[in-house]
Amino acid sequence: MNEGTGTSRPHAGQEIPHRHVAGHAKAPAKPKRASRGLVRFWAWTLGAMSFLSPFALLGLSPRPAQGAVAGPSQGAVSTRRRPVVVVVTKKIIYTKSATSSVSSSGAGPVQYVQAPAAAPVAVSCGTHAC
Amino acid sequence: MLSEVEEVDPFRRSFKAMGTRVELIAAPASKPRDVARAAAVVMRVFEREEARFSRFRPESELSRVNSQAGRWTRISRPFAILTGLALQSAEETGGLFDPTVLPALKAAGYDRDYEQVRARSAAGEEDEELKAIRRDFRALMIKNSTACGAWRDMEVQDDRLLLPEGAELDFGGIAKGWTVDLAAEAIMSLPWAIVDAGGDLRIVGDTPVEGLDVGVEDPEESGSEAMRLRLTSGALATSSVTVRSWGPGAHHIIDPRTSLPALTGVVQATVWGENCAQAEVWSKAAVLAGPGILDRVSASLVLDSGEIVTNFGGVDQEEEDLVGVGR
Repeated sequence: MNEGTGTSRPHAGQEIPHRHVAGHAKAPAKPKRASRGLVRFWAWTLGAMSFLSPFALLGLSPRPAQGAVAGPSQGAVSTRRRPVVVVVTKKIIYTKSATSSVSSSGAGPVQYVQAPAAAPVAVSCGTHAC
Repeated sequence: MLSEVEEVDPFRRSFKAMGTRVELIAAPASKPRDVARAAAVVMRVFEREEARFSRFRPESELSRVNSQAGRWTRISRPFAILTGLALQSAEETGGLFDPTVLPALKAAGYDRDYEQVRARSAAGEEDEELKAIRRDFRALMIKNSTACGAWRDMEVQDDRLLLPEGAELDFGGIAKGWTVDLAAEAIMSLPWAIVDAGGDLRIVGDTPVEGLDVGVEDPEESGSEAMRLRLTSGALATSSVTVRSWGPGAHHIIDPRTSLPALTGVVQATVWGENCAQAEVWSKAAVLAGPGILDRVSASLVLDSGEIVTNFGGVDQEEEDLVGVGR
């Protein structure tokens, strides 16, 4: 394969010439390999640390103030609490007038005003505290 | 507690009573002296009935009756009249209006004056008193599956009343509406007037032919109107789950079917009635019953979907236009 390439590599059986480097009589010693037990020890240690570190961080992080927790109280009434989402778009749907007459107004005493011009005389609302 | 009468303008007087602001609105043609006299009458009526029906006053007749539950108690004539009206209303509404929801209302957190309830809720506390109330409430629920409905076992004989043991009366809104009616009917010598107690109001006298405009407050934005009504007579009452509310899902309208604050999809109901007590009863029932109640009463309901469903006719609208949308 190397024929005709001009490179010179030793052939089989040919003696490889020694290189002589000033001051070094021997090849440098290889670093000592860690024992299998030591490698295993460090692997377990690092694995355990990476597993436990999130818990440690959570444990060390400051807790929210007691008052800031808006959880339900212990009373029985708290079990049904859910946020009431109210978006008033003022889409008005008319239905027929009341037929049975608990408080049927007919068309007389009360009517809806479409485009009020002035301020109302009074306002009806759920009872506000004063 | 009552305050001094305040002159808002020459035709308006206001004072505090029954935990809210009461206002007398007089016709602009009224004489100032007559307005002042009428305001004094209205204030006296409220003072008298608050002393009788307040559950926050230990010396009130209501507190005395509640403390004697389980045995016959002597009651005054007005107390008997309002009790009869409340029991009749409970029958008519199929129990949606219930004058005996007080144990459930207290367990929901409304066991004291509203300002104190709000302050405690803001502090996130549950004091020993409330814990005890909630223990009793839970025991009642376990025993009877409900903490409401005791009105069915009440008995009234002329000037005596028997309240079942463990039951407590609270007339709340109906007492306010009834007092508005009493005060409005006691007003003399004004062409027309409105007595308005925290948004529950009654019109008396000869109103202008075109009627009087009354706004219905937007339940989500205090101070702005959701719709405008024009009245020539009668009364208007509004019940809302967004006012007198001290936390998510914690408000003053108890659903007797669950013994818990109502969650029905109705945020606010405004009902017209011939008198304010009747309008007040049916506005509570409307919050609990939903739009189906429009078969029985003239009302507008604000739903949590954002829609307003109403059967009030419209000014300057043809009848067929009015019924063309909706059910």
